[in-house]
Amino acid sequence: MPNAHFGTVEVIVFGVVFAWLAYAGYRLWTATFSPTARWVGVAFVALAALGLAQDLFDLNRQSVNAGVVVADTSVVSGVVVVSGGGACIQCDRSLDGGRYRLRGSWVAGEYSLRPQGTQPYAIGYESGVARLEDTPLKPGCTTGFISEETRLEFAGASEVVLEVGPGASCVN
Amino acid sequence: MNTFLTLLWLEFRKFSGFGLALLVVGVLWFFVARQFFEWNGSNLESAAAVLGITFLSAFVASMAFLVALAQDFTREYRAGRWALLLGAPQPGWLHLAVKALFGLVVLTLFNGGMWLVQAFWLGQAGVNLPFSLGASVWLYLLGGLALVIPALFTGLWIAAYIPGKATTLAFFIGAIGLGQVLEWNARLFGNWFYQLLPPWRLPAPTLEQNPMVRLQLERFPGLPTEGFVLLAVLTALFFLAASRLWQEVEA
Repeated sequence: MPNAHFGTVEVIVFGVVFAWLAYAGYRLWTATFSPTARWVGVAFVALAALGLAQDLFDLNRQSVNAGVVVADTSVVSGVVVVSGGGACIQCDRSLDGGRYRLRGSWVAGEYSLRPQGTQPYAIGYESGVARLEDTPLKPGCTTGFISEETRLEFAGASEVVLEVGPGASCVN
Repeated sequence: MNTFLTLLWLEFRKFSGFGLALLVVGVLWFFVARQFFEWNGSNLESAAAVLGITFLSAFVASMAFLVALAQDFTREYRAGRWALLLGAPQPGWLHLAVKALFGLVVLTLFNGGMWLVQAFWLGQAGVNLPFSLGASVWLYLLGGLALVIPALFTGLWIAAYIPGKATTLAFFIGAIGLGQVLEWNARLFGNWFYQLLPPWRLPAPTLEQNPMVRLQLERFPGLPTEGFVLLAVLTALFFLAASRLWQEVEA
């Protein structure tokens, strides 16, 4: 289980929460005569426990964390939630040969690009607004180099291409 | 005689007073809205006032009606009429469908009437609404379903726990569980959003705007249609669960 480091407080708090869920499941099973209510109760408690476990142990996180670029994107696929919050429609992300690559037909959100050393980037979009560290980018392709954590913001940009890493370009 | 129509007629009889009150509100508002433009002139302020009051009063009256429906439902439960109704050969979902349809019809007539009143007087004053009738209708229906079905389900689910005195627990778990159902559906089926069906284009507001903002709105591909299909399936499932609950609660 990646990223699961619990201290005493967390263990106690989540222990109590899970114990309460178990109690709730027991009560919901015994306090009614309706079979549908019973099974709905069990299903709801199970979903809640599963959801909590999922958030705790990061089971759903697809961490793209290899090569020279670190890009954490916690994924509800199709609609991707990027760290800092945002949405990406018809999104396609990949990491190939250390090059992080994102394509989306419509993107709104903030990305933190964290390169290792100095890395080339290419950012392209057709219309909308994109800002690199608060500097608005022109529609079309913009290339350059980054060497430290850089904030990239798309505000409803369409036909977005973002590549960071060796060989980054808008037309790959 | 058709059971469905009989049940519908019974609902109308029970709520004739409330329906009359809603009618009176609509007719009164027709005359009062005119006076706004009489007194204050045909300007944007009057239009905003009419628009605001229409929305507020429609919302308040709709909520009051929904609360009255829920109270009636509770009253029937307390009076032991559920047991009587469910002892009859008609299935539970028929009763619930009648109640849902009745609420939908009354609220749609009322809200539609309010809409017509404001559209008429705004039109007389030469103000065009910034959104189309189609957009309003689908928002209204979507919002109504999103409100009514979970409320119906949660109400009956809690009612199943009245004898065991676990209603508060049932309420909390019901609220958490409904949220979890939505979240898990997004997690499991989110991959298919925008993939299977063409996106649902949003009608852009017709207000004059910054060209950049307009361009952005026009470029936005729309909402995922798959999400609406998913919600429709969930609605049907929860409606069925609610009717099953209703039948079993009295068993």
